[in-house]
Amino acid sequence: MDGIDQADQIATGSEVEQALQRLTVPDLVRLKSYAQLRIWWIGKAACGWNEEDLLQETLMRTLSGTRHWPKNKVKFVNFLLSVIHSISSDMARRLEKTETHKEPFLESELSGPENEKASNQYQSAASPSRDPGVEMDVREMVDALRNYFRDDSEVLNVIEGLDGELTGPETCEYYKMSLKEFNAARLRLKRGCFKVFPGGREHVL
Amino acid sequence: MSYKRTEELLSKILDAAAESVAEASDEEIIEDMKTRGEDPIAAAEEVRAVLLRGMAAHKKAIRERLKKMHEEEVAKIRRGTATLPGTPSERRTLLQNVFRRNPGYRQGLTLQFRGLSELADDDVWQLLLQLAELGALDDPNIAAEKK
Repeated sequence: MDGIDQADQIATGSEVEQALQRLTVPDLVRLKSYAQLRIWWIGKAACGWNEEDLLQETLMRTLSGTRHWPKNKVKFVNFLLSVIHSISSDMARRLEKTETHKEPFLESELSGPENEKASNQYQSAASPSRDPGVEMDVREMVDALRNYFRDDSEVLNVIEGLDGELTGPETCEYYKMSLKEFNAARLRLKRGCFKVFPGGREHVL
Repeated sequence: MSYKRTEELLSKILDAAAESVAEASDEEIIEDMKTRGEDPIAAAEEVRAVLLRGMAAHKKAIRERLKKMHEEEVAKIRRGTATLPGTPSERRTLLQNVFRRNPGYRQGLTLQFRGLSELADDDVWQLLLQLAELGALDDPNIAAEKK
């Protein structure tokens, strides 16, 4: 019974096509903004892809049936956003994995005796040491954002809410903000991220 | 603030930035793009063009795949046809020879037909194509009888 229900909810190829053609201007703008954000976010893991490439890949996975749209559960545009998120997260994870495996193969490590190389590889894979450059980067990023928004109390409230592990509605209630003000502040925060770090993040968290 | 906590906070900030795009109202998302100095209509058309191009490419790939499958099917039939004798009576004789040498094939056939004489010429043709596909006509003795 579950199987039948599930099959009933998964959109067919032609339903996906129809939904694509029905995307509105705000839907399309949202997709572009989200793809831009994700490409910026994953930085060098994007391997030269731009938002168009990410959108193309999202479409191909949807049309080919690699990703299924549960049409009765999720709005089509939200489904596409989740595919964009998942593809870009995979890319970031792949880079992280590659870099972890690359570490023991630095030229300086290859100059030592064979047994020393093996020991370095094991050590690195088992307990990767924290790169001090990354630590500085993360702290600088948060400080730079706070500084950028020093005159925008609503965005600072959003950041404080996140730091205090408050949900959106809790942040609104605590700082006496309307949901509209909260959403607008989050969008300003997003634009601020682009401005403060135009080149995206240098390191994958 | 500890490194881990800062790292978590940055991650949450970036998540919030992503959520702001996913959860903003239609008006807010359009306004956001305008604030960034981009034209929402032009951006939407750009994305629509990307999606339509992708859809066209996908359909073309499917058509090409179907065409290739069709061509392979046709080639298979042609290959089989080319090895079959030219007249209906010769084909019927060939089928009899195949069954004589491989009674197992006939047993399968009698489930559907009582005897060879009841088979129409087209059915004989189809059966021979299927037998060719199975390699049943590759027996050198049968091949000799084909000629």
